[in-house]
Amino acid sequence: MEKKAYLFFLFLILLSGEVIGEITNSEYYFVIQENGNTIVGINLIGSGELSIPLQEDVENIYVKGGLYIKDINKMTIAIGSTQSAAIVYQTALLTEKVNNEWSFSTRLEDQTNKTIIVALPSNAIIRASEPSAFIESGEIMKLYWENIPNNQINLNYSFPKEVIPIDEIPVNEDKNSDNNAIKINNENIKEKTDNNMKIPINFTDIVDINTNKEDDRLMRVFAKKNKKDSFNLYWIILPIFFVLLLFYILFINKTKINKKSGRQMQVMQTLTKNETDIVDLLLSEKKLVKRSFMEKKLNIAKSSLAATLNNLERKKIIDIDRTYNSHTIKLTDWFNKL
Amino acid sequence: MKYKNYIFIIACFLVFVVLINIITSLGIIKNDDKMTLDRCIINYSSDLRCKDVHKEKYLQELNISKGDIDDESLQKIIEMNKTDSENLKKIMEISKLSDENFRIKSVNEFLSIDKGFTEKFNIYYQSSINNKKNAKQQIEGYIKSIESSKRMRYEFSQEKIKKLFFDRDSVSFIESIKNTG
Repeated sequence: MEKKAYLFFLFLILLSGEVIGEITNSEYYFVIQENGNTIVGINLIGSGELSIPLQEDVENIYVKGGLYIKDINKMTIAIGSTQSAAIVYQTALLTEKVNNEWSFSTRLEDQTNKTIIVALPSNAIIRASEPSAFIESGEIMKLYWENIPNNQINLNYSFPKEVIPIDEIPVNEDKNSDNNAIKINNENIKEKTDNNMKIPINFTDIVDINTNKEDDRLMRVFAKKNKKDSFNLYWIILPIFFVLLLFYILFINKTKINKKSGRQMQVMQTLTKNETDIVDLLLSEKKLVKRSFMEKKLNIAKSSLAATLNNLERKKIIDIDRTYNSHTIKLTDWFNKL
Repeated sequence: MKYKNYIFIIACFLVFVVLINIITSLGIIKNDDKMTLDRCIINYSSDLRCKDVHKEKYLQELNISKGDIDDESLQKIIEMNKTDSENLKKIMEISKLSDENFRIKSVNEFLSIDKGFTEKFNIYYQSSINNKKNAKQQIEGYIKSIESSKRMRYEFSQEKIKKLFFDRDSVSFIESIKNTG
């Protein structure tokens, strides 16, 4: 009995040797750019399998030391004898901008002991952080966390507003307007950073101009610029449109008009020259044709036209409407259906 | 006349004996081979000839014309074949995606990776041609990283991050990160 228990114990030990290890430690790097794009780097230590939440916009994942499967909202990585792996990818879905204030939010896996570093440009102003972070400022701003409780980080930050100096605004000045209309808020000049980085300036960012009149003026300036751009585009599109239209009228439309069915051709072979000309004209016009128009167009004498029309009517190829003084002529349904 | 008959009968007898010997000897060889393979499947280590039998079998399954399976890997493969032949089959299929030189190492690695992941990876690479290409690249990259025997990590140095914030070129930043570690 004792022997059996001993053997069972040995068996258990052997089995435990077969159990696959775990990925125990991880280092996360989030490098957040001013445009909101984030480059995520993850260094993993240990072996086994790990599921990492992934953003939907992630296209290219670069993995070293592991094999991975990319799913819609997660990636699964397996590490074998390398005992470590590294991942890097880019996403734009970790940040969001509302009223000039950015928020960064991410959820992390809950399996490993984590060290998390978020790097931001040095001019970033941290408004709030959940959980609290250790902040290191310098040439770049870094925030550190270790083993956060809910595996979730929320961060609010903003960048100082930069104001364009008046002489740099690309304006075709209206000479009649008030030259002192644009004034820049002094506080904003103070907020402008000293470093060399240029912050991209959107029109919506310029909100610190004193009066409504000044706002209107700037609006007009930018509207003018935009109008100029769209005007140029029109000059490219319009000629293309007209060329295509002309091509349609001259070639495509014409080819459609002259189409005759085989039976119609057969019938037309039995007609005289004048009769054929009349039928051709009716086919090309595709509508009721006045006798006078036909006279002019085909250059046939009135008498011979009347005789030809009577012949065609007798052959059931055309119908003549004699209700009014000016007679109208059209092809019969029978001929059209041939 | 009588002598000739005797000689003819003896010659026929000898030919008969020789033929029977040839036929039976062929049969014995065949049976012996079968017995060896059977025996090898049951017990690998008892017979040295088994090694070659198994090696040949798995090299053929992996479509490897050149190269050899080392003893340790062979032992692992045979054990996996005994315990979970289906999983081994999947591992073999996945490993065949990679270049001939990487296949044995790939099998070896997948044997130490969780079975669940192998199954998922198998489904993943079969789902599209792009995934198949990606799987092949992954396996080959992974085997190369095993050979380097370094700790795999990407270095996010202060200088690189500073450069990224300055020139905003995330593509070259990622490239520079990929070349670290």
